This record gives sequence, C-alpha cells and structure tokens, in this order.
Amino acid sequence: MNDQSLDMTVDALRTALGRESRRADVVASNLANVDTPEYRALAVRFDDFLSSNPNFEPHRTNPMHLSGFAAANGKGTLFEAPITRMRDDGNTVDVDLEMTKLAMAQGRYRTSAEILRKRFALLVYSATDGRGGA
Amino acid sequence: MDTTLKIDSAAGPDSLLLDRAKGSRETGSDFAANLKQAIDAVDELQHESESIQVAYARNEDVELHDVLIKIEEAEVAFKTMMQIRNKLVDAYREVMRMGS
Amino acid sequence: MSLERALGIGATGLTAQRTRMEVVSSNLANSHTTRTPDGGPYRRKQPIFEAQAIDLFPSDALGRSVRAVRVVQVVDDPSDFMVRHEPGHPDADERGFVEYPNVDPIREMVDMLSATRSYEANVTLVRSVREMMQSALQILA
Repeated sequence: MNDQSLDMTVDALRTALGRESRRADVVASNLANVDTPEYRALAVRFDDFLSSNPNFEPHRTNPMHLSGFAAANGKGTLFEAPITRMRDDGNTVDVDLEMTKLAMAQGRYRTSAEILRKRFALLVYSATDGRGGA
Repeated sequence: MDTTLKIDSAAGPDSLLLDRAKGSRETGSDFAANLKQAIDAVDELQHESESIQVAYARNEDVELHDVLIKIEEAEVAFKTMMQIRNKLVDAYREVMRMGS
Repeated sequence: MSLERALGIGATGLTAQRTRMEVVSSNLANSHTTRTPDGGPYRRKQPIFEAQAIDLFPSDALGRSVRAVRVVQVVDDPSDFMVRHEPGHPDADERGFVEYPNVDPIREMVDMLSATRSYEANVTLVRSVREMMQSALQILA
C-alpha cells in the first residue's frame, strides 16, 4: 500500500494523529501500572526525521514497504521517562504529569482530526461541484 | 509531467489525482494518456481503501485514523473522477449535436 | 491500533485497582476478626501488581514496550498479629491474650484513597481515548 497521502498536508496531519495516538498508548501503560512495583514510567520520542531532511526519499524495492519517514518514525522510540518522583517500591509514575500529557495528546489529536474533517469536506464539496451528490 | 488538464486550485481534488498519477513513468502529453493515468490512480486508491478496511476489520496493525483518511481520499478521488466523466460526456454530446 | 490498545490497557488498570479496593475492603471489614474458618485471626491481604507484556507488540531491543497490568496474586501479609490482653475474650489464650488481625485501619484507608485516585486516573484515560476515537470518526462526517 502506498503509505504516502495525496497531499502533504493530509500526510502531516495523519502523522500527527499517529503520534498522539502513540502518546496516549504510552500514558495508558503508565497509568495502568501506576501502582506496579519496580515499574519505570515510559515516554516516547519522535525524532524529527523529516524536518531535518526534507528531501529524503529512500529507494523502495517494494512499493508495499513503508516510506522512510514512516518506518523511522511510525511508533516513535520508547525510553524511560526522566524521573520526577520515585516511590519506595521503585515505581516512577507521576500521575499528574501523565494526566497533563494525556490532555495535550487528546487536544492535539482532536485538532488534527477536525482540520482533516474540514479539509475533506471542502474537497468532497468541490469534487461534486457544490451539488453534494455523486 | 505536462498535462492538458488545467489545475485551478493547488489543493483541489484535480491536483490530488494528478499528483498520484504523476508517479507513473509515462510521459504522455495526450489527453487520453492523462485520463487513463488519473483513472488508474482512482482505482489504486479504491483498492488501498478496501484493503485497509479489511485489515482493520481483521484487527491487524492499522491505525483508526489511517483507515478513515484512506476512505475519505478514495471518495474524493472517485467523486472528482465522476465529475470529470460527467463533463466529458456533456462535452461529447455537445459535439455530437453540432455535427447534425 | 494504538488507541484500541490504550483502551485495553486502561481496562486492565481499572480491573486491577478494583481488585485492590476489594482487598482493602476485606481488610477493613475484618480488622477485628479474631476467628476464621482456618483457625486464628484474619490475616491482612495485599494484592501483587505485575506489568503484563502485550503479545501483539514486540518489545524493542532493550525490552521496552507498553504494558498492561494484572493482579497476579493476593497474598497474606506475613507480619505479626496484634496482641492484646483481654482475659474475658472468648478467643483469649490461657494467659488471657487475644490475637487480632495485623490490620491497621488508618493504613487501609490511605490505601483505599490511593486506589480510588488510581482508579479515577484510569477512568479519565479511558474516557479521553474514547473521545479521541470519536474525533477520528468525525473525519468521515
């Protein structure tokens, strides 16, 4: 499947949605394990691959392969979050921090989705000559 | 790649189809070739849309938003193509009327 | 997949905290139970939380991946029973001492508060993820 979108804006927004989904995933892990002994809070980092190398387009031997950007960035890199607090049982989850991260992820996700919704609504509108039908 | 189809808006549905069609190796400057490429692009999008929907239904490793975006893109491309087709049919009929 | 998985993980968090609350409730309810079917006073219980790997997602080279949670066991607290001198008590021994459960109600209340807060955090997570999914569905609208 062609992993790139038809236009770059949609692609960028799609990537944003993927990022925020992943962040929510990581927060879920941390909150579920808020009371697990020895559990170290996780964080995720998405290296800004594209912005540092906008002309990068790896040679794909098979069109089914992910584009370089997606492969490098897709799920991000997991690492142990910097410790802001640690309890006696070795758990490092900071609930307030996680809740903040969650709120940010959700906000960004909703915004990107909304922008996409409007974008597609406009495209469908112009594709049907303003008449709405097929 | 040169094309005889005008693109009015950079972000319009026409440009989406032609961007996708640009990936093809053909350099055709005639209308028929361009049209064929655009139709193939719509077809490809439809297939991608179907296959990602199936993958999602099977609980494979696809993201919800990717599925939805792909569905929308395929729809936009399809509707654009329909519009082009309708315009072509209208133009053809117009030409046929002239002949008689 | 990420969002669906986050929901699943959140669900395990809710279940684990609820189990913990049940254990605390049991401790509180039995804080003065001097006689149990197995003989002897009630022994304090505690849940053992363990992070659970999720099969679908392979860990990276360093073994890091998101995890669900599970209460793998509810174990007895091995600490000593509290002993009080109450000669008139039906369960007093020959010297008049009664063994009471090793339950400190204050500590249990604190634990219950913590469990409640953790539970609420997971509720918020589940709610947020659900809203994110609804936002995504709006793309089709």
